[in-house]
Amino acid sequence: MSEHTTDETETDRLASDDAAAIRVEGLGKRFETGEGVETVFSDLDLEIDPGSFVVLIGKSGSGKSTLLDVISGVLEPSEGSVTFVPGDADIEGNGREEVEIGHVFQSPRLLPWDTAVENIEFVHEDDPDYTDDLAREYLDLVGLSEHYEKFPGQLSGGQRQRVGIARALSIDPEVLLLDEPFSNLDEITADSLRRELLSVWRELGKTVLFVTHDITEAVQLADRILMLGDGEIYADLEVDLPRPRDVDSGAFVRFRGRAVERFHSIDGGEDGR
Amino acid sequence: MAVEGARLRGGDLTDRWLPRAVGLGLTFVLWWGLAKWFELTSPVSPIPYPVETLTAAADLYLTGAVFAHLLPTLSRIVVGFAGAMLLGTVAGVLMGTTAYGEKFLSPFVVLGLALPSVALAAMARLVWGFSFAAPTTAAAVAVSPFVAINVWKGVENLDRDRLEMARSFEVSNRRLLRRVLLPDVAPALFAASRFGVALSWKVVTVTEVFAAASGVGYRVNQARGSYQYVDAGAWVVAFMAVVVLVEYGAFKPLERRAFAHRDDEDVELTGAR
Amino acid sequence: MSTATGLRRLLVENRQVVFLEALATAAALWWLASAGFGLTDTLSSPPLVAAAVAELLASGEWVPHFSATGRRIAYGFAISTVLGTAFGLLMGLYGFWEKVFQDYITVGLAFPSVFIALFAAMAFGVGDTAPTVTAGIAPFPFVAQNVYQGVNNVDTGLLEMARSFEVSRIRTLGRVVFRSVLPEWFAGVRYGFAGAWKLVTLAEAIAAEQGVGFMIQTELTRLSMTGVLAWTVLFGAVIAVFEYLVLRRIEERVFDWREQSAVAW
Repeated sequence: MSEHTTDETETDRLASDDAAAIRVEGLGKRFETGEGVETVFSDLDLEIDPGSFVVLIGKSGSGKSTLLDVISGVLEPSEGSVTFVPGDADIEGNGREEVEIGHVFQSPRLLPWDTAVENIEFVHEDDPDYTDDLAREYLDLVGLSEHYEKFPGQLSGGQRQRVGIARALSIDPEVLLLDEPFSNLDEITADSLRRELLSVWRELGKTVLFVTHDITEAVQLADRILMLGDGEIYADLEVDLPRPRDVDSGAFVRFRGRAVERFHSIDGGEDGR
Repeated sequence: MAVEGARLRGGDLTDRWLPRAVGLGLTFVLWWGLAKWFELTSPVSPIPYPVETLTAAADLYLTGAVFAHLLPTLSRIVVGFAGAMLLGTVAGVLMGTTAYGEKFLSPFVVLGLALPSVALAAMARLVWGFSFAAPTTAAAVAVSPFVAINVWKGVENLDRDRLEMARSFEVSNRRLLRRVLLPDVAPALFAASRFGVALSWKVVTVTEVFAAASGVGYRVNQARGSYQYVDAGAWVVAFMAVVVLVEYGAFKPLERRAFAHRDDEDVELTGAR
Repeated sequence: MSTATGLRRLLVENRQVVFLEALATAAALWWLASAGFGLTDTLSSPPLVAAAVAELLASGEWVPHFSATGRRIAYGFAISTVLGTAFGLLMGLYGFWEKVFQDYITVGLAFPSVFIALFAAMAFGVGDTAPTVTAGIAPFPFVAQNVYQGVNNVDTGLLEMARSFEVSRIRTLGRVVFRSVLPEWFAGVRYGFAGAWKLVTLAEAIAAEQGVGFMIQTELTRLSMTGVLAWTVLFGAVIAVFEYLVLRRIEERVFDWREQSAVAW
């Protein structure tokens, strides 16, 4: 568990500018496969408020990772647009120039031949403000103070994922995109990482778009749950449960029950966990 | 449908055969260019032209003259390789199953891999004279360390769990061997064979240059000695025809089958000399 | 526990001791075969070879030959590394060239290098060129294949990660692609080196005026097994020393992240 202090200097250095809003208009993505054209999703419209924690949930194959890839810019959309609107709202075009986007992947995707610090340094090309001390501070933030010089091969799965999170946070992004970051971890590690993520989010106030297939995780984390299926967003739930959220509380369980129903409303009952 | 089908076939044509044709054409051009360059710059023209070489090679086959030397070479390869497989498999199994075997035999394997072919050929000549035995034993000695390593790795990587499972069901030894052990070790055996054969023909041809009075190696060397460049080239091509036949006709298709269910083979191990 | 167990452990489990046992067994068998069957002429024997090696070293006769061979190995190795890496990169980065040269690699790997040596001898006669060319050409398909497979096997996840963080192409090439391909490249390079010294000696035996291979050929014409073995043993020793002192060291430095990670598993 991370032990971050509310040290003034640390928070000052690490706190971001205003988080950015994400605006999606008419977004669609198609792939050409051997058999023809496959439409992953089409005509999506979304408005994600700055500083909110939005969870995108869908079954395997629903295209949620693809949607995240299009939003993050790894994939080009087939149609429509994604615009990032920073707090100080002067942008040109889609805002990608002005807004920093941090990406956390399902598998940590660390360079195995670089240490934890070097892995963070890797994404700070052309950054005059970067120092190794900065990298170490972010590693402290995710509870890896003892592991600055370790190689990924020397770290556990959970630790590697923390490095990935530290890396994404270290570019001081206005938007944080996470693609099922905890689904490959055991429940205990995942649980503690979820709590750390929430506390980091509250402290740094970034816009978070989090993808998962686990409804409990979604209800635990989100301000808002978007459900993706059949190429469209078929549900948009506000989660008004107070934080911190108790997974065992009656309110939580009831809300989750409704969410599960809503989740399965799109088809005839598959196991969505 | 019809249009799609035709398009696919068209794509296939340019996709696979055009590059091959380019490769083939490039070979001819380079070969011809090399021959021309030598003709122009050197008092002798030691590189024969493609057309004359290929016709001479075809001639060897048509007149049946090729077999006088091809058959001895092939028989030496077969016997030498068989010997290497026997010796190498025994050594490999010992190395894979006993710790002492591995420690004791490793130096021999290293030595075998490190022996320069010329030294081996010279030694074979001195022990056996110009004979069938010389290239054959040379091949056996040179190839068995290689087989040993592959078999050793194959045995080491045997799935012990699967073995225990079969034993727990009291499966007969015969069935155990045929259905569990053999398939498990098959890829390693195949790799050993495939590259063992290739190595065998290389060692046999070298040794024939120094320690035989017949065979393709001997024949090419003889042609070289009497400045019969086209002749030498013809024999090389004639021999390579067999090599190409074996590689493309036997090994490539078999390789796909043997490795079909496994994708974890060590590429370094299977590299040829 | 007891001295008996301790002794047994030493004899059976200690790698260095077992190595010596293997050495001793081989030497003993050899000696037995040659002395026992009266084949000292054909098979030579350990003491004879040892004496011959000592004499070579003392007389300094080995120097000009080893330096000639060494020079040719260096050049040939450099050529096969450069050629192989260039081809491998071309094939790895461009699907079209991959398909063009695929057959070159298949045939190249199967092609008996002795033919290359013979034709090089025909083309260049005696001197440095023939051995260098042989050592440069014969191993390069293997190097090329290694590099090309290395490039193909670069983790696309890492490339996507780099792209998502807007890392420049150059930095990605250097920090991700290059580092990723390095182990395979290194394996290819080692192979190129092994090929180089085997092929240079072969080419020298066919046509040269000096060099280790040339001397082996000379001893062969004198029908002297002792001579052949003396030069082989000496050469082998030098190569072994080089491999351990130089190549191993480099490998350890470059790949120390692997060592550390392996331990942690």
